[in-house]
Amino acid sequence: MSTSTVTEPPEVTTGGRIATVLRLTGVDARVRMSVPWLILGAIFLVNVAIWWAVRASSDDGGQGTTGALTALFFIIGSTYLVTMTQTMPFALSLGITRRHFYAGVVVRLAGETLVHAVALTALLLLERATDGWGLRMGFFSLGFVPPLNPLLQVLCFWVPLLSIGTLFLLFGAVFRRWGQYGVWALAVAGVLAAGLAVFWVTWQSAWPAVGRFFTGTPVPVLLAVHPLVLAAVAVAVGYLVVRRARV
Amino acid sequence: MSRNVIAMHGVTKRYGDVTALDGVTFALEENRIHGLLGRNGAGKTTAMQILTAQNFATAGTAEIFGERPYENARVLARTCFIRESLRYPDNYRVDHALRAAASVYPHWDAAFAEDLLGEFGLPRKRSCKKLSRGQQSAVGVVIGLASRAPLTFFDEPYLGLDAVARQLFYDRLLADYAEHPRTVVLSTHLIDEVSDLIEHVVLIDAGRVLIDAEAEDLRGRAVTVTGPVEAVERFARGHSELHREQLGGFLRLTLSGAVPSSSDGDLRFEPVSLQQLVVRTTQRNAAIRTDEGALS
Repeated sequence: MSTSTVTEPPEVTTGGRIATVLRLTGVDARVRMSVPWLILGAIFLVNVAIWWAVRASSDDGGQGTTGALTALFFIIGSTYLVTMTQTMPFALSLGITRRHFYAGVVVRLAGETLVHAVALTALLLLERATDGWGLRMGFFSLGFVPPLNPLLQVLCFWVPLLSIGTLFLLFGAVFRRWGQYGVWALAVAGVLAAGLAVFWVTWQSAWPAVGRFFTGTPVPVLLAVHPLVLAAVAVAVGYLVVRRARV
Repeated sequence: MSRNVIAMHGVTKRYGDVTALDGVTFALEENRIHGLLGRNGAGKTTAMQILTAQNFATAGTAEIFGERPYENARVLARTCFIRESLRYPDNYRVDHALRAAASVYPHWDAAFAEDLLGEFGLPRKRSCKKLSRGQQSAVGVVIGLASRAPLTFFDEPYLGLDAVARQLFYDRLLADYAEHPRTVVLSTHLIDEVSDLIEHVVLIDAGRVLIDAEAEDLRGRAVTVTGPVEAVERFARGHSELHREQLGGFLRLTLSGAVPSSSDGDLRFEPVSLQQLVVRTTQRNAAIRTDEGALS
């Protein structure tokens, strides 16, 4: 009879376990990363057709933005909800701890959204170089964002994508810990908090100050710094929630 | 020298008013196949969830490899828990699930997994969502076997598998276990099917441990005696009665700890299978609980 398969416990390090989670969550990365682009591709083709028709019938010559890109941010973010609701129970069955799984997913989210951000920047540059795909159509530009250098532009795509992703992870963590009721409670709490904020700003007659904040803050700061704070808070809270999750 | 891989000390788990585990204490030795037996809802799954830190005990302690498992990667990394309710992410195909498991376990045997895939007739490109119940179970079985995890839990892993596929699982488990000894905990209520496989039995009923013994010892523990009422009653004196069936003047008793006697020609003795012993012990426990409930 041969000896036992494993007599010595394997060397277990935090880095090693996070790398394991990165490999585990990598098996379906291609599906996860390509689906939002397939959807965006379809939206893009529809937009091109409509804009072509608009330009053909009544060419007013003006530049326009479709606004379709915002959808991509939420489609990409939502794919990370599934990693918490579906992949996490599977990973825990394979002996992964909660904290290593969560840390690995956050790292993967950061990496994958960076890839998306680089791709979006490249397409934005292409869009600008082709005068809006020959139709003066702004598909990959957000109306309020002025032209930025490519590096800053990548950041301005990446950080919002990352932040939305971490919010979806937080919702997923709440689902894992408290189930559907927890998610509803979080949604209701979010609505109440937003309502309270609006009430307070109105009561204090502070709307002009809020307006000044948004117009006075440089766009790169609004897109790449403030959401980063939000992401950090979401990751920290998500970690506290997921530590005692049951699967 | 053998050592315990699993130890539960007075583990209690309550969900509101329901007590799923009630002061459960048992220990399981390394490199053996243990059967965790009991009815549906007896607490088997809860016990395994607590041992793998997927769930938390209300009281008591659970240890694997001598350490508390909660968020303990050093010991959890050596476990694999194939649950009956294990689901795969919606966008997974069969090969995604296998690749995911392969990426986790250092001793994953890809060739073995490939063999098993063929033997269970699993289409590797099929979406996990579209698998039949039996095929889903088979994916779990393949992962549980090929992972070669030092501590592998199979929690009723056969749902939807037909008798041939179940036998395939038992055969491959036994053959692979012989070549690569490891600790296997098999929770099941198909006791007859696994009675030759398991070396040690823990029977849980209503959250309590009823039997914690070597399978070999259990096989001789009870006997069924049939014959005229008077003769059977005489023989049964001093033995613990597990089950009683009477038809006219004939009585059939299942007795614990009795040794067949050749002196009384009217009596007929039959060995009691592990499954019968488990069923009768569980029934007796249910009757005792009912009596206790009536008294309190």
